[in-house]
Amino acid sequence: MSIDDKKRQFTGIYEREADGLFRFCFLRTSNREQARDIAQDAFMRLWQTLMDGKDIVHERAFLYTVTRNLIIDWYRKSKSESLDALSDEGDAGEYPDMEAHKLITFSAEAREVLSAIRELDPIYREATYLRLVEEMLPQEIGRLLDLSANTVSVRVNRGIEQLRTRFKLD
Amino acid sequence: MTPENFKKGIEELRRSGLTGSEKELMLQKIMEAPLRIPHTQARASFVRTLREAFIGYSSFSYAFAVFAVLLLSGSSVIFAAERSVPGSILYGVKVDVIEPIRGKFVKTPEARAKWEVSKAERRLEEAEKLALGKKLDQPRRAKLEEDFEKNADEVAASILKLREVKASSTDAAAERINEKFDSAISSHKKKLEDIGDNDKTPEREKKEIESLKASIGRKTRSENNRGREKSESKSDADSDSGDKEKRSE
Repeated sequence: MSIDDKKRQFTGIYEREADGLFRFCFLRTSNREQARDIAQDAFMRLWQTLMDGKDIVHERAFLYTVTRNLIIDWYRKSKSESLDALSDEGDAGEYPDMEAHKLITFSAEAREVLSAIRELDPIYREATYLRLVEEMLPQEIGRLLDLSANTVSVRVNRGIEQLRTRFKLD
Repeated sequence: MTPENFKKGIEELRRSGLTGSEKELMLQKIMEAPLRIPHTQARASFVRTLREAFIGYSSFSYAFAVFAVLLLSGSSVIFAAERSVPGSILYGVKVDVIEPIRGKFVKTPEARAKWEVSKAERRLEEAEKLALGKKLDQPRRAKLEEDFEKNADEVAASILKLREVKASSTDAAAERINEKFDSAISSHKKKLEDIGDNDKTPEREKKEIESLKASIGRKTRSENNRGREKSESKSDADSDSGDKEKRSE
């Protein structure tokens, strides 16, 4: 594959995934600039991997896996608390405090939904977020969290159930 | 919360993201960032660069100091620059900084001639890279032509200088280097021709390749002639003066 082909492939992936990846980073870091830096770092690793001539079967899974690791590194550097919580169920850290979202102006509804996702059981939280907000399929989420599609479906259903109960949606 | 409001909240989260300018800037930064060269490739290229840089160099301690400074301060920039082609940001560093510095380490006339040949070859390799990547446009071709002409002049001058040393070994070396230069030119011209003959090569690119080939041909022919004429006229002059000396005796 020529450099131009690689550039085209990369730009296509970037166009598709940049916003989602940035959101994913922002929700965890509470810091727009930091989220941008982490997303950029993840894309740079993807670009480097493509330029090294390595095949990437699932670009999205690659990007999110790299991003989750970068977020863990970022927490490790910036936070003094134990990392035990970060590694529980592959979770990449606590969702940020709502105050920290002030740089992005959300409506009351969006803020409430975010807050509710943040307060889900850690085991359901990430899968539910990826399904509801990023609209990933269970298979994709499974690749990312290293779980089977069935397990992901169960977690997403239970997460949604908790949201329904909280918002009395039934 | 009503199901509608819940849906509205989710929709809004999905729409949030980077601004257009943030997205553009981020892509630009990614593309401009220097790439890490795979370890084995980097080592081979680095060793070759060092070996070439120290042809004919005699002061080991100074060379080592320069090596250490380069290693510590900007090896990644050097690696990236060495792979650059006309049109890329680091090309100026390659042609105007790295190559002149490497040239400073070349001391003997033979090493100088070899180095000049290698520089001219680098221009042709860059032309091939650009042509293969369908990036050989008019400004890049013009830049390559200009640089190649300069390098070819330097090759001719360095070979002439080597002949002027007037020793059988340097004469033979001059011949070898001249032949090497000729065969390198033919081989690169053939490669460019192959790229130009490829059906997948765009017409615009083919024109640039043709023009570049013609320019290389003109330049190398005139250099060869000029080099030979100078060399022959010098040897004629030498033999004339020898005859005069004999006659006066």
